[in-house]
Amino acid sequence: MNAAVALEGVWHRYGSGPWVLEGLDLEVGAGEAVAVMGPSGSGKTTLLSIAGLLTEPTRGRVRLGGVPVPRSQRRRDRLRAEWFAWVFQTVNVLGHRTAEDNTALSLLARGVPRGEATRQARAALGAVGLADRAGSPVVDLSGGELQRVCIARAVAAAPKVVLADEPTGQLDHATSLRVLDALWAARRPDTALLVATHDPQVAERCDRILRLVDGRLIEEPT
Amino acid sequence: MGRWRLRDLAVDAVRNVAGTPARSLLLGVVAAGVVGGLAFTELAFTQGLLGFQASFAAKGGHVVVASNDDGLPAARCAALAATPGITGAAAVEPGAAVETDVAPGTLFQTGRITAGGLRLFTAGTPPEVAEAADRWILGAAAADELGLEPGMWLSIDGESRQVGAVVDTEDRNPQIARWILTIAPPVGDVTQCWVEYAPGAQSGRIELLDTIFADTGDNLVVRPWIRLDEFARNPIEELATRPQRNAWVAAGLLLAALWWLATWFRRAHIGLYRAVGTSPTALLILGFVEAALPLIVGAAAGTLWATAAWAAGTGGFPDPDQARIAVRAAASTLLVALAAAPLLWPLTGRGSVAQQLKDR
Repeated sequence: MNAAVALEGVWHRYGSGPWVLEGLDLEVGAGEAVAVMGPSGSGKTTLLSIAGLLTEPTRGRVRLGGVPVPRSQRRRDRLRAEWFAWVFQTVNVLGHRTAEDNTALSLLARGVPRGEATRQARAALGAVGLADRAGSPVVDLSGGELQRVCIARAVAAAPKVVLADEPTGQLDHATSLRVLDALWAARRPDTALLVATHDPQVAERCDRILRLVDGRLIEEPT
Repeated sequence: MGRWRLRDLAVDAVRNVAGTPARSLLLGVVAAGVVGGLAFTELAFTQGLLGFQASFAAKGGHVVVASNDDGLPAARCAALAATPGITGAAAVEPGAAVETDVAPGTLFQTGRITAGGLRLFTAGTPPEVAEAADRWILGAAAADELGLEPGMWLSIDGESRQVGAVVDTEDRNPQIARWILTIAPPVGDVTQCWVEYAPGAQSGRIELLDTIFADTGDNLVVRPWIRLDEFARNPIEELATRPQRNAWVAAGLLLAALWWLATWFRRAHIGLYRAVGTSPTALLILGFVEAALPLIVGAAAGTLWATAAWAAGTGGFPDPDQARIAVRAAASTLLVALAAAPLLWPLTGRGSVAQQLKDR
């Protein structure tokens, strides 16, 4: 079976700087949750950016569903929107809009009519435990609630792969647990999850843990 | 995978505008100030030109005088009044200097003029010439010196007539302020033919009279009543070269720049739209609608404010031509701003999404 997303012999560096990734290989299957751990500056975010088609590798190739990703920026943009959803460490929301509006964005961008998008957004907010806050302006929500809105937005449009970059990086322990519960509860069974994290409690929930050392991935026992 | 529906994109833009009232209000107020200021400037400038043109016309700026000591046919002169582009024509014949029974020893100039011709000397308030037929028409200075008013009797060289009208010629032709005139039929020859053209009839004024009276001999002189070279102002050229004629470009770009500045502080929002799969075209539409709402409302309010302020200051509404110029400047400014303002949205969307999402 083809991996949802695969990186083959990926090398990457910024400009003429040192290599960040050195011949890295990675496969994440459909429905699989993979954690990438490593110290700050080890290249975790770069790895996610390449996997999510935000950055083109200096060398190497990315496959989606077994098909190589073309070089055309237009087609890469389209594939990115179709395949991936992101959860970032920093909370990204339209601050002047409601939780429901923010969650519906990913659906509206895929052409779902507003009525249906709103209905699905409410369901996604329900899955992350925010059903009662759907109509609240996001400025009234706590940090943990905001991150859960971002998770709801990411999973609402049923992407094939969710990329999470330090999703609990700015949250306390208790809030992190609620956010992780939300992420695992809202994710569809066939949605792959690739998460970059320092947080052991995030890694423990994943099917595989990979450590990024000197630009290469080393698999750790779970 | 589908893409944003246009209606949903517009609704999202409207909600973004409504959700950020301070930013929207600021842009609207600045748009009102910039567009309104430009509209007001145009109204004030064109008012100056219109004032000059009115004064020019009142002083006889559109009058051309043909004169020939050998004589001009009075009938041909009077008939010019019916020519398109000519608002009045009068044959004028100065007479002898005379004494009156009221003021013996003081000489006054006499003259005769064809019916309808007095309006050429008294712009704005022509007397009822029909009622003044067979009566004396006195210049204001002559009437003052003689102590006469309409209805009184005056005898000149034994010929007694009632005073039919006293005409104030100070603005247009102060030379005849001491004249005593009679209305005469357009027969025989006269030495002067006064013709007033419509303001729009700019060219061929002198040439027309040259042609009409070409057969009257070599002593024919045709000249404008007010020599144009005595007036340095040329309203048409002034309008075409006014300093603010291209200000709509700068004003529009100024408004667009303000929007660009606001956009710069919204890079994270743009990154978010991109992260969920919004295309550059959809971003352009989103940016356009978000800019259009405060800009259109602000520009309309500014234009209305300028008109109201101008009307309050002058006590009247703008002339249609003035209004057209002011509205054109306002609309041009708005169009430039609308065309340029959204451009930064898709341009901003060219960098790294991840980096944009971190920008605050």
